[in-house]
Amino acid sequence: MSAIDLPWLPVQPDWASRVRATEAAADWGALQRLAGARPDLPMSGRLDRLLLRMFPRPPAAAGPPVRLALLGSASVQHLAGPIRVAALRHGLHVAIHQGEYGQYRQDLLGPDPALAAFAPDTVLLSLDARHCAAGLSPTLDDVAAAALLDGRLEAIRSSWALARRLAPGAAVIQQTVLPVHPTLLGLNEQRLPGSPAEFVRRLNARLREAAEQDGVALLAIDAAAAQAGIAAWHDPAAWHHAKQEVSGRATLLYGDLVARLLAAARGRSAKVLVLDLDNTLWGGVIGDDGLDGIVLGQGSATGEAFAAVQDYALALAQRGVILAVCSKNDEANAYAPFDHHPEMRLHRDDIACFVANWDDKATGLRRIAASLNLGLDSLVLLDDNPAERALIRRELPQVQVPEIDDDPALVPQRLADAGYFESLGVTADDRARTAQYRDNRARVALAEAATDLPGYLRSLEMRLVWRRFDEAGLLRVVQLVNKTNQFNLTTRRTTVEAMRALLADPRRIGLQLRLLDRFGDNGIVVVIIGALSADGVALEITDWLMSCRVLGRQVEQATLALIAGQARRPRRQPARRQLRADRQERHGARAVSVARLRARTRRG
Amino acid sequence: MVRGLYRSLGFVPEPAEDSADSPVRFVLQLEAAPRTELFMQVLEGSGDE
Repeated sequence: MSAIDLPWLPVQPDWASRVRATEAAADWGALQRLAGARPDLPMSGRLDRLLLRMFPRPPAAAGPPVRLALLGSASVQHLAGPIRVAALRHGLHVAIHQGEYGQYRQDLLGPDPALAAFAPDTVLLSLDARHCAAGLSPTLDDVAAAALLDGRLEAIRSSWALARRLAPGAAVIQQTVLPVHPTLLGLNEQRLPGSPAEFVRRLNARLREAAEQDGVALLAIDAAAAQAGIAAWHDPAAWHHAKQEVSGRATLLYGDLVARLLAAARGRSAKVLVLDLDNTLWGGVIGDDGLDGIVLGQGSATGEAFAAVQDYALALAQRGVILAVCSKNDEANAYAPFDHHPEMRLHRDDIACFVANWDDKATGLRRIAASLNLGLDSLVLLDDNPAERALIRRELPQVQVPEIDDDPALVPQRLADAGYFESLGVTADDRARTAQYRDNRARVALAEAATDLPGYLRSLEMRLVWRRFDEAGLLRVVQLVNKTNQFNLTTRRTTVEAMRALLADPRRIGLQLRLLDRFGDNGIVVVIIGALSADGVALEITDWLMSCRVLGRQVEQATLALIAGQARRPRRQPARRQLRADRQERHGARAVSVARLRARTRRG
Repeated sequence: MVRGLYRSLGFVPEPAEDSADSPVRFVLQLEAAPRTELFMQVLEGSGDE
């Protein structure tokens, strides 16, 4: 089944009756569970109408509210509903401002008063291929085609700048261009400079570079179309009838892709891939078939396919996804392949939390979440057993459980298609995450062996290294601020853009603290955001976020001592802020003596 | 739990009659912050680590 139909979502045979039951009570959680069923267009439309009627405003139970401006060169009206429903699936309430057909440039330049009043926190630019390739002719030579490409790219970049001027602090998402043009030359289309198909391909490549430079997120539907086929994504008849670049059928996936970006920007992507073992990581049952009887690795196509599943899990871990195991097995049997099977790609050290026993899997998943100090909504369970999948969906609806085929060869692509781990970038902490959780096991062992707390703390040889916010750490700071868990007293969220604005404000303090010890680097574990009060005598701490992995290790006391020291220091002045220097000097000269905390700590 | 953590650091709720439903605001006179022997080094980073 193609990704265009969202095959990782389960079919819910009783969906219609559950909708009727939900209509009776405005229950955000029940509505979110309805959005978790594999939808078709009528289902999506029905859910969208229900959503608009029941929750015209974001409910308290939803995640951070999103205000999305959807601006396009073609018709975008048919995209709004699927975006709302997909966002609901991710726990987000999205208010959408839809631009008129072909008016994106005028809306931004005007700017359109309705758009400005809407005050979006995210602007999505949806540009169609015919608009982007306008003016192209097969008679153009290399130079003329290159000039046209440069001009088109600059126009798009200026739209990004206009969007940011219209809505300071807003995130900008640029949709890549669908390859809808038929070829003129054929398989060597790149040899025809004036080919629209080739132009779009080059424009998409340039967009990727420009988006990287300008801090714009890409909605790479060209890549999605390459996977599912352009025929699934674009219907020429719908274009001629209604100027719809994205076909009706593809809107469901389009909405999900947009929702993934919105969720990732708010730190709500999943963090942990929980792996079943028998018939998920290898063929057969280790308890029955033994080490020599399971199917894994070279020698059979099925064995190679299971090895490929492990390779994919390992690659995810290397880019920051935490791996865990939850298996109904005797523990010794479960560990045996990890320790002794020559074809295993995954080893004990790759697994941050290993649960193998005969408890039900819901209990196992709760234990994994507790052990990793993460919420259940951070978990994705990969399990071949449909009964287990159904059980977890019923018992722990926060856990995401993809439908997978019996054929393991199809599993890696299914996981990738589902986009659970969507990320806007990779931080150094992401790359080191598996090692950090592995090191935690060694710390626990040391704590159990120690006889007194000071002795244990001293033996850890800790160093708390702090820095003011900087460009390099911004992504991790936003991750920490946005990931909701326990110890959360407010629901304030932030974006990279908002944090960047903080860097330039001399009245505000942003501190990031990294903890190192004899077992390794714990990464950035504390984020502090504060601002000097108007009278200059108090420091208002609006955000105090702390990873629970390090609670009880004096990080909280050390952080407070650091805050006090920083509060008493005269504010440093960026050179470009000289005009405000005198005023700031006065503030700095009056020793700050009060810390007011309007804050939260957070598990990260 | 988080309120207990703040209190342990010397913050006091404002207003004093703190309840689960009240606005969350804690105040600390820095001079009154409890002194704790720290078993760690606190260092300013260079940006390279």
